[in-house]
Amino acid sequence: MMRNFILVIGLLASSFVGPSVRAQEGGNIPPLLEQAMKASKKLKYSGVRRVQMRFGPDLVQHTEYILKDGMRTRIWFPDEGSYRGQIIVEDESERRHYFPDRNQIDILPPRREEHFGRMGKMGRGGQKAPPIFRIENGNEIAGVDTKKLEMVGPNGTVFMRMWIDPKSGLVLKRVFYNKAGEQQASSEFTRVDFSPQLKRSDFQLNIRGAKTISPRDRLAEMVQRGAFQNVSLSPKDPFKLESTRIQRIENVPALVQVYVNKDGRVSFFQVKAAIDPNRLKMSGRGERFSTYSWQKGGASFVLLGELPEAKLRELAQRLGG
Amino acid sequence: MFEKKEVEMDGLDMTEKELDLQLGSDAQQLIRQAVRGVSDEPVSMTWRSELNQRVLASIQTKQRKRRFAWIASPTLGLGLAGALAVLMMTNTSPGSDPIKLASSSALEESLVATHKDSVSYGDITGVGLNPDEVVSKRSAAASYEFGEVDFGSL
Repeated sequence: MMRNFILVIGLLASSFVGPSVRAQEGGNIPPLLEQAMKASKKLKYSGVRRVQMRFGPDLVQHTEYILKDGMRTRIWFPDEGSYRGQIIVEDESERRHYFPDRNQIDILPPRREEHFGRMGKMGRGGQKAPPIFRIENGNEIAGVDTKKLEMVGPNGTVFMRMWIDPKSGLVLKRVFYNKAGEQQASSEFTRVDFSPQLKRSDFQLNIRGAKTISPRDRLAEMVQRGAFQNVSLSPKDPFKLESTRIQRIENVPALVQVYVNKDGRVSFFQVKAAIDPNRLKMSGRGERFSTYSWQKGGASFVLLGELPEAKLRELAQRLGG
Repeated sequence: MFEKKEVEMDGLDMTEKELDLQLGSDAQQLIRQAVRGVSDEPVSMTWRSELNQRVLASIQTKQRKRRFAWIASPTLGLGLAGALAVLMMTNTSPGSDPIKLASSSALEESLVATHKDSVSYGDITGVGLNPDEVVSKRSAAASYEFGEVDFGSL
């Protein structure tokens, strides 16, 4: 009798003095992340954000001024920085990016907070090995108390950390780590105001005399300039062309098209060299995305995206692969 | 045994007897003697040998031509077939181009890394500056790795 009493007391005590870190198995999205996902579509605030990215040995950083009202966003940059004069305005239907040096507005599909959709998919078992979420008390960011959420990959290393305001659901800081556990990119608010004075015109971008360029215009120019084959998804396709660029990858010219939709981001490469599908698969093994490749007309075509391989194959068929 | 028949010669009606008479005439006898008087020379052996050699040479040439044709015909056929095969192998029709295969997996790895970076940086920037646009503004020191980016396209 006495022994049972001690056992009950012990169990009760352990529930109060438990570890401060709460781990949640993969396959379930923690309520804190669910809150942040919902808040990203509704929050209203103004703020200043510092963004850092590592490219090889170089750390590139810039500051952004942000106005946000639900799905509408306006971003501009300090006068003394490299992006002086650039303005980005995004709503539910499109993203407009103004470049003052070219007096040009690029019309793009909206980017939204697409990573939340991807995390949701991961958490709901959309991946073979869903991440493990760990939550603990975080430090103060931009004067706001936070909860720190860690995402742990199948190899046991943390690949993402987020500091979330538990009251508003705003993600105040994000850090992404590479496979070696080194910080690869980060964004952090240095100032935030949840009661900003916003005007309707804040979310409009019309510059007199500015030329508007669509991703399709850019693609046509790149295809011609690099003498690539004109292979792209139809404008009516659910995947929308976000950007096109020519990049030398391992000294091979590549036309890189990036498509987006609610399922995420797909990179479509056209390279003037042979690609070994098995080596490609090996390179992407353990990653959260699939690969699909084919050859045609003296070039290789590669699709990479967080979709099942069968879906990528369907996409390839729509591209003539 | 034989009936004496009339022989028509130059429109003249002449019996066999009359014909024998004519053949036994002096004029005919004279011609006969003249023909008998012609010497019977044998054909020169040299000429015959030359003729034989020419005939032999002609036969050998024909045989050589036949043998050449016998060998050349399939060789020509094989040659044509081979040329056709080479043409088909080197034909640059879409879908079957032999393109340079990278010797290592570096290209495949780099493609995967490029996509991964695009997704990761996109996660960090959210609705902010596009990672490609950030890349375009990198310092010159980084150009060894990303200098390949066509800045004009960004």
